[in-house]
Amino acid sequence: MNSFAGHAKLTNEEVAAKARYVQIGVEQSTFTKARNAEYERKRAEGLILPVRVNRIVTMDNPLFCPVRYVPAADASRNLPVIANPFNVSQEYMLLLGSMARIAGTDPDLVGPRNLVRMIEHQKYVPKRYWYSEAPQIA
Amino acid sequence: MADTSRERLDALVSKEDLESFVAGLIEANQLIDRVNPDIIEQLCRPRQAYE
Repeated sequence: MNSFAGHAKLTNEEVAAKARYVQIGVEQSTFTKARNAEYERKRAEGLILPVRVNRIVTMDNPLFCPVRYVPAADASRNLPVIANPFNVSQEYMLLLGSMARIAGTDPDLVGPRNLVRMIEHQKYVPKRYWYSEAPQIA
Repeated sequence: MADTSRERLDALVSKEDLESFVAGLIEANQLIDRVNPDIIEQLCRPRQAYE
């Protein structure tokens, strides 16, 4: 949306006023706790369309997350800075291949996408989070 | 190495859960295409122009 706003010479607010922003919410069937109140409100208003799955298989497993974030001093959280390097595990590649087969796509053609874009977008991270060992794009 | 990784993956993710997950992602993609396609077209057109 930022790219569109910049190209069309509109502010983000003007773009937002033109668009009804509807999101997809992938929901894990085994999740029984109350969800975030804002999520529930948007879902009730039709701004989030739920898609139910048995389990979000990639969730909370570092093997399926190529991105590592820099730990903050407070060990319970991470800074919004990507640590170097990306970690693309064998299990993650095999998972992508298995998903491709189920979806009817050539498993040899799948892989992580947008890794460079992730690094590029670090320029939007506030300076106070900058970290000298994070990967940089000139 | 690949065999060990495959065994680890099979232990982490069942076939049923994976099929359900992929079906959900396909459904999500179809929903995205259905929700306000005009906006999607507007948002994508300028990006294609400079990629």
